[in-house]
Amino acid sequence: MLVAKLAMLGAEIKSFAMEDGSTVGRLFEMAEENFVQGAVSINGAIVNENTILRDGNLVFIARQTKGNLPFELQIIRLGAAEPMIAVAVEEGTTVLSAFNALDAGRRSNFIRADGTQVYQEYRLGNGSLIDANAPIVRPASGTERIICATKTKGN
Amino acid sequence: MDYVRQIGILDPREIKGKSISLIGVGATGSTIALTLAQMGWGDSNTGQGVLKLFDGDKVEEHNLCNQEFYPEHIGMHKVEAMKDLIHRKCGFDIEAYPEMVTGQPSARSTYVFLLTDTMKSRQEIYDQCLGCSFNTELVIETRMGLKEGRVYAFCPQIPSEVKAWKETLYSDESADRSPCGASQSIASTASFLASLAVGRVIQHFNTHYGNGKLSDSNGKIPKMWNEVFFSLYPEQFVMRVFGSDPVMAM
Repeated sequence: MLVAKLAMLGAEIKSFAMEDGSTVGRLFEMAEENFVQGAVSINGAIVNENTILRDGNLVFIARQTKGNLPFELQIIRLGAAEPMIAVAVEEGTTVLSAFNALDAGRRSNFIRADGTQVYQEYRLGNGSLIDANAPIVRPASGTERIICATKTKGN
Repeated sequence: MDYVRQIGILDPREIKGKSISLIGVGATGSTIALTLAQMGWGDSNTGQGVLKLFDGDKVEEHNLCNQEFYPEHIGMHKVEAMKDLIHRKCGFDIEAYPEMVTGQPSARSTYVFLLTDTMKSRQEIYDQCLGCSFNTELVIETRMGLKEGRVYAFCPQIPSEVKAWKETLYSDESADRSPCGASQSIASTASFLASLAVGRVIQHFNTHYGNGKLSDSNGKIPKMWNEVFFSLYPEQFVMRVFGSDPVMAM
């Protein structure tokens, strides 16, 4: 059994549990997406429908250039029924641009209709603070976390 | 007070002169004060722990729903009301100071709870009063929202912990505001936050003075988180030791 992820830039990542030895073509069948030759890659390398998947592969739809590989951004918010969503982003993406790339329903969890932010504090997976407008560096592991929190101050 | 049911985790006879200051006796502070008193902190009949409360505010009617006070306390200073409440409930007197803390040395204690309502006052009190306190072993600071909160616990003698805590401070202007603009607070969140905060003292006290009451069978003592974020609906936690990656429970 392996888990493969299918991603488009800015969109939510879909994860699929698959049999060992499954192919990229099978992943597209399960996701009900059309495979376009030359526009699907894993770790920057163009793949075809017969490419064998490995556990944890992030299969990216759209041609990409080496050095600007997409990575998985897990957006985590406390107090939500669905506390984590994963999106594909590329180097230089900011927290706000990641939110703005979400579909309208998802975006409203982070950006109100009046443009204000639902959360006021963002932290990376290592606990350090990050400004909403600062670029997120691609992590070595291929996955970064953004923990969203409200700035409470009452007592 | 008979503390026999709790001595497996905190024996008031072992407190011996360890003092606690609560700076701010509102929703979180009033619950923390009562909890500590029920645990025997400040009970001179049994132990020698000292419990000191600081707050210049008076009890108002809207405080009754999320703070420990009774209707007859309306109009009294919160610290005097709390002293009365603890006397009636626990049978001993604690120290009550109906004043705002600025830099007065009397606010320094072994354990200090920073429970004010503004971020600015937290920073000022720390810098003016606690940063130069050589006998303070742990500062516990809480921040409460309507259904979420945070607890920080750090040692003012460890510069890296103080620096990490200060990095978590933000301006009052940038803090979350409720849609109606009023300060929102509910007793269930306050009491949960208060329990977490009191837990920092229990953990620290046991680690340093409690004869291994919290140790597991291998003698290991639980990790003291410097930062705990929580949400109550649904229940989720993010916990962190300063300088380490957060641990999430979701």
